[in-house]
Amino acid sequence: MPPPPPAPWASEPAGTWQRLDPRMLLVHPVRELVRFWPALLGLLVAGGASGTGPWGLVAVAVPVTLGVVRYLTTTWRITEQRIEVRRGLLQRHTLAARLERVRTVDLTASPIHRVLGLATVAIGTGSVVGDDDERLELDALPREVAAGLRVRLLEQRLGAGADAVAGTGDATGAGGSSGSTQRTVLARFEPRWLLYAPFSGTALLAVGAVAGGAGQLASETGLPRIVGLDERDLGRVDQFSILLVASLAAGGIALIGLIALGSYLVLNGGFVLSREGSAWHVRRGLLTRRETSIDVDRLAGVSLGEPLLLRVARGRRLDGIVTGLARAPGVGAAALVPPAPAATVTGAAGVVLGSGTPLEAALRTHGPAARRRRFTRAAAGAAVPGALLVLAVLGGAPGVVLVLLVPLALGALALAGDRWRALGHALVPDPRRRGASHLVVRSGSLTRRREALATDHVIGWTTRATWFQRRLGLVHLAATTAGGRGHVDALDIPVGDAVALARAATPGLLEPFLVGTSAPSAAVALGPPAARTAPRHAPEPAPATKESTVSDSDYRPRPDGHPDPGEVVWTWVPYEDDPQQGKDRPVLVIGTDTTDDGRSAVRCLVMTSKDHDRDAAQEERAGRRWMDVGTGGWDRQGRPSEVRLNRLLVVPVDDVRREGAALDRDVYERVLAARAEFEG
Amino acid sequence: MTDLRDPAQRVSPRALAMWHVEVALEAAATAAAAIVAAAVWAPDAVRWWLAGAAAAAAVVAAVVVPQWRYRVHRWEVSATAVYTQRGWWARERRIAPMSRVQTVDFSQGPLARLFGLATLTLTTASAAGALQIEGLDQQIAVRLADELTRRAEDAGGDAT
Repeated sequence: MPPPPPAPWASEPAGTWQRLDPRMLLVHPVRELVRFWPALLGLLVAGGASGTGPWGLVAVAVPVTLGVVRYLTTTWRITEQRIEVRRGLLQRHTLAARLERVRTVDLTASPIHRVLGLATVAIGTGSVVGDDDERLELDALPREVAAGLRVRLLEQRLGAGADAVAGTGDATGAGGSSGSTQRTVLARFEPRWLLYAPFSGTALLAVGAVAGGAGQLASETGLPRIVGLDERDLGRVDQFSILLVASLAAGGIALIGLIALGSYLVLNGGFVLSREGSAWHVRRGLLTRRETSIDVDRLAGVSLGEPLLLRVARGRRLDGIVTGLARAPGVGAAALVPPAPAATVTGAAGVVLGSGTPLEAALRTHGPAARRRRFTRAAAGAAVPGALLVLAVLGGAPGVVLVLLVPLALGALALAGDRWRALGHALVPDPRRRGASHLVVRSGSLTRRREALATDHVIGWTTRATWFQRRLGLVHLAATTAGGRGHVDALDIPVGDAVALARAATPGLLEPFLVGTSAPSAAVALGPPAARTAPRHAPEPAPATKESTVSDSDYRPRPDGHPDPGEVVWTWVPYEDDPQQGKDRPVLVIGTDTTDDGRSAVRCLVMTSKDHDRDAAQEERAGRRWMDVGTGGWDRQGRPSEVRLNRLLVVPVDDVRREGAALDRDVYERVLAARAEFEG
Repeated sequence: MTDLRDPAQRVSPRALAMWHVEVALEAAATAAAAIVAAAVWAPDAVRWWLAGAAAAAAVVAAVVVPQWRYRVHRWEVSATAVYTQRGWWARERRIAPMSRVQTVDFSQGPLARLFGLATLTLTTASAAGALQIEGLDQQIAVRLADELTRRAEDAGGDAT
């Protein structure tokens, strides 16, 4: 393998404190100059005589001074484990994030930044931070340094997930070249996408605003005059005012279209969605260019936007459900694809999800009760304006006003029907990962969305049912997650379906609480922590862990085709922070057991060739305890290995692969003793 | 059709007493305001009817609401998950695996301290996922907080 080209940041030895780029000193003054140009113009024209002089000077001096202070007091460095940012003049802050906690990296460059060749780097770590001071943000670095930093930060995530036993080779191989070579473009801006601009949500809001304004204008100008004029003039003025209102409306619509086009172009011009190494990259913005990089593992799912207007134009939009996106200012932080042709968007979504099925699969509808509820609610919604109209007529308004009831009723019916057709849910298996699937839900009409959330990103469940819903046997089911809005909802789903869906998505989580299960009787039923070392709601019965009833841990490795205590065997081990993913790893057999469904199994401890000595303290804080066991036949490169003492797996015998390696008896006994001590 | 059952544990019976006091105080304040308003603004014919209705509503609320709340507010902790229920018009049930609990907050208002009660709030990484158990016996709440904190730590990872 040729050595990877040195990244720009590599010119500094790791761990050196570095400053921002001095060119950032120009950014803020230039920005302030733009903002204060009228004042400055006054200053130039009138000089100090008009009295604007001192204020004009302050307007320039303050941002310049602030910039200099910020430049002088902000430094950053990246070490093996952490990225750190130091800032503050009087009160020094040091912000630090462990590299494996980095989920997203955001590069933003305003036009000024771009002219100067700079970019602002914002690092998202998943902690929800509202305070500006606490945000990991570097404003600004040279573009190449920023890009190199991004590669480094995200590559680290890849390295943290992989394991030294088998992963070192390809992890560094992929990391070294991921910045430039492994780039797959999923979607790219095309000028014809501009056709979708008027159909996006912002345009709809603008139409509403202008229509409201036009209505007001018509009533303020035309109508009172009509009322005040006599019969003969009425026809003429009526024509005139209709013409006026119509041309105003046409002009307004044209203006809205232009605004929509312009804002779409400014926001999404140059849009590219691509996969680079272990991250999704979204680049967009005609003037201010923003590049968001989302670690693949942190994309919990997608939300396919199909609002009514966009559906009419056969367009769609796509947002990511992302954990730990930097809450930097700016709109649509997690937007993956702007309003664009449906085929393009669903195609890109299919690649992001690893399969198009979650977006195409037929959804299970929510049944007659849900339909009745949609229509009842629409009727209730229309009843209020309807009643007002009737009251108005009773109160003396012309009877012709009642005609408005017809569009009102029709609109409510159409909306209810469309909302009903939207409702649906499904659980779609993920072809990429064993035991994983996507929870898919759809709802809404004017703002319809179809959301697909990977089940391993489901944190928990919330069900909510009003008295009406309980009477109909319906419930509002929300899967809570760390990304996006925090929850993905199935509206008005029948109770039975809701429980079935949640059980299938997170096996084992709901089971203790189902009707017919016995509940513990003690006031605080905190028994032995049976699942202390279990992978989180294990995806399938295979690596499920449970308290052993029978265990025989005597040392007896035998070449009998059966895994025995003392042997090192290979099996699929889920990652702790993402049990839906995992890898083939060596494990030490320390006993026999049976799985919940009665299959014969072995109790195992995870092994690794990683050297944990150098950061033992950190490992301990993270709750991981390792013990050296030396070298052996399980590692062909003869690297010293360790056994993790506090993570016990119970693996069915059928899922284990023997390669004939075993620990020495005394080492094995020491592992057992250490584990007993640890457990004791 | 399988449904979830109610969580097994009720909150402390003393919570019932606390809610009676709490709701009675609130209802009394609201009723007093309503009675004053009726006495000042309502026409003579209905003045005392309105005032009487406000007082009656307050009494009913002070009697019924705490009972209702006590019936609905329930919680349960299994080996792997926490399960809570609350709400009277819209009944809300929340389930979170122990491994996804990030922080356990123990809080006690002045009234709760008087009754020896406490509230536990369990937050997860989701902005929508906090579980709250009100009206727990103080001792139980402390033990539960310790136990949940310990198990959340054992589960490792960053709970996202």
